[in-house]
Amino acid sequence: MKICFVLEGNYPYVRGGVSTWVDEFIRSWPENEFVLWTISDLESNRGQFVYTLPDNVDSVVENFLGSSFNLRINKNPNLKFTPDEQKAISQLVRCGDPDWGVLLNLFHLHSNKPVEFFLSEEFLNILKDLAREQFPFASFSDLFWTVRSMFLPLFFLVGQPMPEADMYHSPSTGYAGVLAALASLKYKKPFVLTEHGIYTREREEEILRSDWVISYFKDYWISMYGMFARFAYQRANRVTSLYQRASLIQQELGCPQEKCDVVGNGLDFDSFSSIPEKVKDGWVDIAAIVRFAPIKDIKTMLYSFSRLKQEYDKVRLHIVGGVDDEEYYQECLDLIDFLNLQDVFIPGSVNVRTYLEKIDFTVLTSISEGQPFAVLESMAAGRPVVATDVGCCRELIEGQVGDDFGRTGICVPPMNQASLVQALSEICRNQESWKAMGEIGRKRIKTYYEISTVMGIYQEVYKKAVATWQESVLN
Amino acid sequence: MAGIGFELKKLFSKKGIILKVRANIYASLVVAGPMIMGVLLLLGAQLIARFGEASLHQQDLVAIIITYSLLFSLLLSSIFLFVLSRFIADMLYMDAVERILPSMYGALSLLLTVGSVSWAIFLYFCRIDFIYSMLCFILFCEGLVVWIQINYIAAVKEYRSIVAGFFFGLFTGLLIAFLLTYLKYDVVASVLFGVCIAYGVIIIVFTDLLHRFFPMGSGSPLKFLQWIDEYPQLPFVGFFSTLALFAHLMIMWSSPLSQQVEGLFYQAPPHDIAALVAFLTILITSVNFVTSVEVNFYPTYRRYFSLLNGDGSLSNIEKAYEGMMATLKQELFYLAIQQALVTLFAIVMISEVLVYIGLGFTSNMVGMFRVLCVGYALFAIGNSIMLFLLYFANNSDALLATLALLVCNIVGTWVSLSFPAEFYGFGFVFASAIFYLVALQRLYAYTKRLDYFILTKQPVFFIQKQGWFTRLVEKLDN
Repeated sequence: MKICFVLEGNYPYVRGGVSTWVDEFIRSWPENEFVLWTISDLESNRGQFVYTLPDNVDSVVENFLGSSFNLRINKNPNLKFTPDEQKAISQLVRCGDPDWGVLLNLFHLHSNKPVEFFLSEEFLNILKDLAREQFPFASFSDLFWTVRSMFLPLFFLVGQPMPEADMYHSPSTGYAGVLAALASLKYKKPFVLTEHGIYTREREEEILRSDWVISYFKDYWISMYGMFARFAYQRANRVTSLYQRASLIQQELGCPQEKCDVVGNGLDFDSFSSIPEKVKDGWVDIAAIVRFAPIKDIKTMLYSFSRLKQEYDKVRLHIVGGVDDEEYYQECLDLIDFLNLQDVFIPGSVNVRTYLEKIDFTVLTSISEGQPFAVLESMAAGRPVVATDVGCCRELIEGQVGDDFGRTGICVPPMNQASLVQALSEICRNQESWKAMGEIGRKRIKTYYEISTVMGIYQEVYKKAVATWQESVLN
Repeated sequence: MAGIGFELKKLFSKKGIILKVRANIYASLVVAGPMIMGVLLLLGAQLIARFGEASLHQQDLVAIIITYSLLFSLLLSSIFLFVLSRFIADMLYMDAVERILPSMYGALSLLLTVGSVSWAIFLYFCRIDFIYSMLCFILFCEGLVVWIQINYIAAVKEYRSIVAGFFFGLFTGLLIAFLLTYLKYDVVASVLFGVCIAYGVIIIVFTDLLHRFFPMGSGSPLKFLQWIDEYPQLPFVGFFSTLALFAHLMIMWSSPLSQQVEGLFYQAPPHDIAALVAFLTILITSVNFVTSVEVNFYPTYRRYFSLLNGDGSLSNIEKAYEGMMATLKQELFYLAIQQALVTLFAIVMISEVLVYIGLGFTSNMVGMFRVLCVGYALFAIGNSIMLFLLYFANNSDALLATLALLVCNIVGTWVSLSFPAEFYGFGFVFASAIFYLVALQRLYAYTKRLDYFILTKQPVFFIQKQGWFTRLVEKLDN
């Protein structure tokens, strides 16, 4: 079977949870052939893969949104639309529920350069209707540029060639989800959506925090990603999430309940479980396996560590991972200076497995997570975990319903220094419990999150997807 | 957002989308002012020549040398007419006043180089008296300077000083011509010398005015050439509209009416004089256009564009649009009515008066004069509409209209030559009518979808045009 992975801003350009998962997924299924259909921001990324592509990756179809700047387009597009097409476009621009089939035809039959739509009089008319109905008091020119900016990536992407495959698979909604859904619509092939984080929620947070989106239009931007997600959920034959709470959010965002499955991340248990216990040296070594990004809230971690240092002198913090956000990284370094923090180590991107050998336990302070590999790996390595109560961290640390192994660490509220300091200090105090907690973690991973188990479940998901797809084709 | 989704911020924070600012264009009709001064100078020179008991041939020679020098220098400078006024308006809008004066010297150095060489060659083949050739050469170069300076003077908007400068020059020049003639120097040389002095004085007054208004400036004097890459139609609009204004005169110089004055200097007196006087009747529209645009139209225009490009909600923009269009229609209507009244008056009264006064105005010119009056009236209104097209940055349609005018005038006048002399003006009337109709139709069609042309047709991403002139300027700057 030829499977087309539609990937947005992750594999194979960037390291991270989703990327690692995709890499392992492809490797674990050597009998299938894979096409990577990627969306990245800048043309300079072309061919810059940080992963060695597995042998069963047949080709990579790369798309760069930055290239839309160089598009050669007809400056006088004389586009005329049928009433159906007008309705579909107008629904699209309103972030409602457009007829994507009509849009697909429109994009591919009328013009292979959908961006030209932005230069047409039809666009202006649709925009005027939108202004009258939804933004009567907003600056029309702001609305004009906002809509152009919002829909440019989509219109650019749908104008690019779509690779053909027997199955489309996207690990997120958003642009990747829309493309996968459109391709499955075009070639009449099944589509599986295996969401790791909740894309729509993450975009929402990004937009709310942003200073480059005009406040008046923030809701509008967010509703566009909501529309993208609804389309992907409706079009997908199966939709998975990493944990139960995420599944409920998907349903809230418009995913039909009967399509939903919960499948956790899978980990190569043996390679982590074989990591030996740290040789005692009189120090307590805490590791945070994170990349430098605001969402990881490393600042709270640093403040808390500085307070912990006042209680325990012989404690060290290792922040292990690359830099996602240079500005934030610099702020963290400045904070370390400001707090005059000793014994903080930043080794950069290193082999986590080897590094864990000199670590006693791990900490994670993220504001938002799905099912973090950092926690899974730490558990498999038999290291206790202190993590914020985001994503499914609590399930991992305390066990889900029906799991009686016990606690493998402590779960604390996000962005809460007091609770974090308390938790860290509690683990530091009870060194004798480390071994027991580590064992609980190992058992939990072995039982629920072993890679072969998880891949087996995904194969079941694929089978179900094909079955429902066949059913729909027959009907 | 690590790992999922590219970063939107990266894509849009680069300001790839730049709102293009549309600056206003200054009324370029100020050119009509100096042209009228030229006609007055011509008449004054003729009177002095007669006073100096010049022969008919000498009178003709004075007239034709002045006419040729002013006309061909105007024609050459018209290439930069709209390019420069656009450049000046943009620089004023961008608050880059220091770039303005250098561009004048840049444009002048280009025009004087090309102009003086070609005019010297022309004069060489003319084979007229050396002194006359020299004076004609000086007058041509002065003409180039004045026509270019007018663009800048229009931006200064000190209309009173401008008019004062003109009259001071006119007075000094004619006085000197009169004195020299009185002292029995060669009549032709004396009068031409006086005219040269008149233009010299005007140049001095203008230069002083400009240097008081604009800073000495910095940057490449040829920077304005890049504007040709951005608006390639503008040099043609300037050149075609100016050429069309005189094409019928030039064709007449090779008609049955034509007389050789001397060398390559030809004239067609009945038609020339009729045309020059008829041309004066559009003074009313030239003046009215400037005041009507500045006082009535411009505020509504600016309101519309600032709402459209800025904070205006759709309903505010639509209201401003209606206000602007109502003003536009009203102003055009008044311009047309006033022109029609003046033209009617000229047709009924002035021709009779002119015959009575004499001045070489014979009764067989009356028919031609009346026809040409109608032609110039249509031209004046058509030209005002064409300038509105430029205001709305619709350079292509402005080019279309002026090209139609030029072609129709050439073809029409040429065809009219096969009819009796009474019909000679009809070619120009036909061309002006076409010009008026085309410009009006384009203005109507364009303004009906104005927001579409202004907003939607802006590029999705703004890219600076890298044309031949931009590269030239970059090369010269290094």
